[in-house]
Amino acid sequence: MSRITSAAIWLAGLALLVFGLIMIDGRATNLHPSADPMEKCVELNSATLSMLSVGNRPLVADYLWIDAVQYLGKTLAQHHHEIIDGKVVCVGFPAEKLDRAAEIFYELANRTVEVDPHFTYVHYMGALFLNDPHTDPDRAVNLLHTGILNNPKDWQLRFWFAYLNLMLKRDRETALEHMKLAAEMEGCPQFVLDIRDRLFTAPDRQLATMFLAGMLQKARSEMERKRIRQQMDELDSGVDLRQLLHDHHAHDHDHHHGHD
Amino acid sequence: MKVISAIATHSFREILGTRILYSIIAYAALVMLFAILASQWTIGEEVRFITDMGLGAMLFLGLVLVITRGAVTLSREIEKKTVLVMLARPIHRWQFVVGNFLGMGLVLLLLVFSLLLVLVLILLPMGGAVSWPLLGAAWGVFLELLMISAVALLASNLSSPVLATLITLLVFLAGHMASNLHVWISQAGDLKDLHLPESMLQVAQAYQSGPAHWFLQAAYYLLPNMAHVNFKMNAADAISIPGARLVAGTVYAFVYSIIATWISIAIFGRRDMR
Repeated sequence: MSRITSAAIWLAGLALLVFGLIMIDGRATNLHPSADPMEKCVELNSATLSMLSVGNRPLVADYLWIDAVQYLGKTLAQHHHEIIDGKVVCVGFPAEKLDRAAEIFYELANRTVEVDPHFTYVHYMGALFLNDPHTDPDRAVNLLHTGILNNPKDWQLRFWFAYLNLMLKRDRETALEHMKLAAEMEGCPQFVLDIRDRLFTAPDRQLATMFLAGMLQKARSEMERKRIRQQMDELDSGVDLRQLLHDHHAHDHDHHHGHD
Repeated sequence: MKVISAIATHSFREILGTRILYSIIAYAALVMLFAILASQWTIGEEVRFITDMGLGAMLFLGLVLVITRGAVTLSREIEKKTVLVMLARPIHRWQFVVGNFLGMGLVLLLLVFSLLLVLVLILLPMGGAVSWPLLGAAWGVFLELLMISAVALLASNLSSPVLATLITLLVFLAGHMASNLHVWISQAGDLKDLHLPESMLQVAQAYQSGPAHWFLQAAYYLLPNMAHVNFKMNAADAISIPGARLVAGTVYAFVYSIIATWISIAIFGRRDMR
């Protein structure tokens, strides 16, 4: 047998073994009881993860964020809303599963910022994706609030926090408080000052457009830009999705009770 | 002084000619691979990811070099008596130890600087910048490696290559947990902040006083506290490193390395080479 033939046999054998290993790995992963990312993220707490990182806490945070981003890509980032005949139609990901998906993403993002509290992009980006009419708005607000506590000098977190307080909580006073603080911070752009000055005079929808336009201007990734544009489109449609969904739920609830 | 610098230069050249080049090539290839993958894995945080990966790989490659050179080669030289060829010349044993340590230190400095250069060359086209936190973090990696190379030198004096490698690795790992140990044994530290499970909390509370407390206290001072020189978080989050922390970390690393080398000299000086 020539050297080339034996090398080819050796390589083929190796390739077969690698292929087999990949197949077994796939099966084993499916059979693993902690295949659910929610379970995976609670296996180790942040203190243990930090201790096991051998001085590479930022890398552990990166890994957790990548995990969160991959989950985000599969769920929240894929979906958007369309309004057909006055009804909100959820496209890309089933609406009934959205709240659970948001909960998992929220946990993953929280775990990331527990390991690295100054990873501001996780607070910011996480809140952007958690701001969805089908999901609990408090998660987005909480994630930003933690971000502000960890990074009080970050204007972008306060700016976004002000937006959510204004649009979700209808709390203009808190929004103004954080806009004032954001405007005093280093690196704060002019549009923050403009919005702050018009917070009590401009209508809500116009303010929201200004906020989103500002965020779009500072967006760092294509996924972020896409998400902001989606929210702008929803705003342009002139329908308050949260209110509409709330009305539908209330209607369904009454309907069921009527049958009872 | 001339003798020490001659030994240091010899040691430096010996290491330089062998592994350092391969380390740099491997590092550059690894970071570039991750640079390509990073754009698909992360959203908007590519520069941070590459920085973290780069600094992590820098430490890992340095550790490989310290173990292969410091812990394995030296202890093998001692074990096989090849060190006698060097000691047959008119040099003191302490000069041999100090020269070896300095040579290793120089190699580590060059390694970290070269890898930092590679990292910066990858980061710049991606929108990254040469920042003080990044430079500080790289300096921290060098200090970490310097302390661990002093430990490797000490371990190689004490035992066989395999055991020396094991000791060095264990000290490296334990050194990264030293700050947790300090919180555990510290009376002032609030254990609840560590979010430990109830069973671990009880164990930790048991070590708050008595002989166990003093034993752990001694273990803490014996280990290099890597948290003092770990500035990777600052580089990742672009947070400036306070000057006092940088100076304190640098002084701590140098003093720790000197103490470890001092003990190495004492052991090597009394060692029967026959």
